[in-house]
Amino acid sequence: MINQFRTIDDLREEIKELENILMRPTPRLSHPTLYRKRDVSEGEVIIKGVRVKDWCLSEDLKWALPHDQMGLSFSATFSNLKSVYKFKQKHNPGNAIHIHWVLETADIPAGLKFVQDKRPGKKAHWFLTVTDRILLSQLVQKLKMVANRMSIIRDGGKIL
Amino acid sequence: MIEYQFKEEKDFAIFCAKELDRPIVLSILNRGFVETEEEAKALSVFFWDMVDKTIEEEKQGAEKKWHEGSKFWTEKLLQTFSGHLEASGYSDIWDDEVDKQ
Repeated sequence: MINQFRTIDDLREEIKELENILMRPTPRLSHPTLYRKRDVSEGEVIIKGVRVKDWCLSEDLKWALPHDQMGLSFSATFSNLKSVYKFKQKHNPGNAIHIHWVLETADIPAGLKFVQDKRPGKKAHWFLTVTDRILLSQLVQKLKMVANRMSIIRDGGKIL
Repeated sequence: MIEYQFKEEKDFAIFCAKELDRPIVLSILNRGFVETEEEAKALSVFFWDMVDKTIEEEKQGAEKKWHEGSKFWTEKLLQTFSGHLEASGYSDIWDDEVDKQ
């Protein structure tokens, strides 16, 4: 599904008809599912765009292992999205933050699955998790495929 | 109870609460939950002050004290604190502070 919404209200209306739109605020020129060095603090380890600490990886960091509460973070409500958006805005002053979004029921590559954060009060926070033991290089490919399925609201701060 | 995704989040938050001199937040973190609206507000305000302070420190090239870096831990604490406040019935207080940022 490729759709461009002009305002958050447009998207909100759409959400009433659909379940679980999962969103990630992403600075302009950054990738929605992979990290660049400049996206993270010194000390955070990134391999091929994967932020190591987000995932359950093998000791040699060659494999991504199944874990239903580790993975890439997504917001499922505007309240949660706004918090994360403001956070990223503070870390990227002067840079537009785009909102990338995808349906939970979208055609996610095999081996990945969206799972709600199980902690109390976290229904609005989801993880894109790994369900099968896969090579890190495969995880990268799958994350690129997810990114290709995502739609974008450019410079979402103007309307949040 | 405040449920952390990583146990280091709590250590990081306690360290920052001491740096920012927030005894009320230290009480909340050590107790493990907020009890009042006042505490919910204090935790919300603390979160964003912690974000601002760590960004400023990083800009100034302050010595890194945490292996993953403060951006990672504050990002995790955003979900942890907002979740706890939502579960405790204080999501409006969290949202109000978000709107001020």
